[in-house]
Amino acid sequence: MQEKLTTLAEAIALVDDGNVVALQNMATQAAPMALVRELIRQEKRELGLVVLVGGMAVDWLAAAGVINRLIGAAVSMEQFGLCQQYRKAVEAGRIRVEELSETLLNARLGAGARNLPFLPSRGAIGSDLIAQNPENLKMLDDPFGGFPVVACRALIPDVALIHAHRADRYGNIQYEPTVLWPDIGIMPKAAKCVIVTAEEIVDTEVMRRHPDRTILPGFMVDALVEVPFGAHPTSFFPNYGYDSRFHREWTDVSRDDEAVSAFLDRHVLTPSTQEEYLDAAGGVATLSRIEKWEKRG
Amino acid sequence: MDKVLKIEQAAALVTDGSILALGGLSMNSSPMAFVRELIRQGKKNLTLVAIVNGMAVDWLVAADCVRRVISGLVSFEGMGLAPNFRHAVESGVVTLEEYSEYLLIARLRAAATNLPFIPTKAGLGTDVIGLHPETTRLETDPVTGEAYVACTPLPVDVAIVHAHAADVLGNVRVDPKLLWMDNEIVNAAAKTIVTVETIVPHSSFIAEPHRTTWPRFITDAVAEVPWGAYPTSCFPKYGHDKAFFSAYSKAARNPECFRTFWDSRLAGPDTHAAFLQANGGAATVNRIRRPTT
Repeated sequence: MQEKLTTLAEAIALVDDGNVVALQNMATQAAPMALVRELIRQEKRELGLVVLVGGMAVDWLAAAGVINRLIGAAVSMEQFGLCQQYRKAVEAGRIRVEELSETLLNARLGAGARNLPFLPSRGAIGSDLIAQNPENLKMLDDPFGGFPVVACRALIPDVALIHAHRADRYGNIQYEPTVLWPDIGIMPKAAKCVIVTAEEIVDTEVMRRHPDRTILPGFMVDALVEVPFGAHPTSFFPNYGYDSRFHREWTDVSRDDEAVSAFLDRHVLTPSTQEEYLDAAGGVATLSRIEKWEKRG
Repeated sequence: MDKVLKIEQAAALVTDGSILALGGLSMNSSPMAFVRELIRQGKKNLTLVAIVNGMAVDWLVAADCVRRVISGLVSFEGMGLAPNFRHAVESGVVTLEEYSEYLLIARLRAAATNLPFIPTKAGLGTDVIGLHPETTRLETDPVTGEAYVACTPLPVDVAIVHAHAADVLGNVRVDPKLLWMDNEIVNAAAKTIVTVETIVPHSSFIAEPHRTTWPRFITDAVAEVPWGAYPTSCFPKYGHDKAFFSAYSKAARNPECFRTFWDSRLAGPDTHAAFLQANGGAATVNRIRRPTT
């Protein structure tokens, strides 16, 4: 079996400028934030981002000038507010948006995963999404004479970025207790290259005790990095909740470019390890707080 | 609210002429106790949807309950062909509508998602497509020029699956997680009947919500039948009974032997427990059970 374990720097070196990168994320939940920070640290440029529902990760990538296009259903931090840096970049035309519903995006990725030219959906019929996206959505007659469908063109990202609960060094990936979000199921299957961070690396023997928990076999994974609390400040059920305080600190500064730059400097560029990053975010006190699933930080 | 029925009551929900989809895969997790009850109730003219199956289809065919089988494969795998199914298809008593597993899955998914068709590359280059111009058709994508197979919905009247546990409300759990294509038939079916190894308190489902395989709004009836998949397996609790498969295949070579086997060891016993007793009882249970891990 091939060793997949590497460092954040080497893993993210697999991403080329201009790539289409699929990012696991559901607003305030389950984003591979250590990989996102490394994209910023390596000054990647002109990336296209594919995200079901993006949150702070998208805001950071927009603020740092890493992305110039986004394919997704929503970008927001839910109760913490809109992603202001992303919003500003879209309004200024620095980021081009292909807006899809979640179902349409899953259909596009699903077609990519199955090597099909398209998958059909009825999800958008009656909406303006189809007319706005003639490149990738097309009405198609049913060959059997039934009602027409929306053909959703295959989307094959260059890279998928995923965070998981545990892995062995050969890149077998497990989720605990089970996959909750649809993007984890489809993004790695559609993408050409899969980069995973895991809360812990364990012996293969430990993985074998619960083979039903394995969501990706090693042969599907290109690079793997051990990153405890790797989804912070988003939540990672059941290990820890999202960091409310950190989200509010970000939304407090996110309209002000100078303050944003200082924030990214302190939390993204300066920390050279995951531990330094976590300490800058409040250290042990923060970790204890999010492990208790605090409702109000 | 209470979905629990006796297996006799649950089987009575199946009407003659229905399209029934059978859960499990091959030698695994077939709803055998339920199938035996269908036979005892003398159902007629059923159409069976069985992605991959063996013993359940063979029993129903032997009992003359079936007119049509829609399937990817019916066999006993390493233990040979399904003898009654083979004979009935060869003699024209049963019509076989053959697909690959994936074409069937695509048809069931089209039914489940209420789409007129689902495309797949499975089946390209084979003669299976040409067999069913009404349901699977070769198409060309107008944008890329790529060929694909369009698969029409396969509507199912009743899905019958066997699982590990349920509560009285009809929430169902497969341990440790679903291994077979049962989701495909359950999602495509108008009704779902589940047999389970055990009925557990509702609180057990609340305690571990991620382990719920089917929420109660999907299930129409639940019947408790310990060892209900016997003689097929119910991983991880028990394996399939090789001895039963051998004895069955051996008996099927001679009509008289088969009649005796059928009456004494298969259709005769009036309950599933009596059926197990007629096939070795405790010794059989101890032979097939798997150690707790």
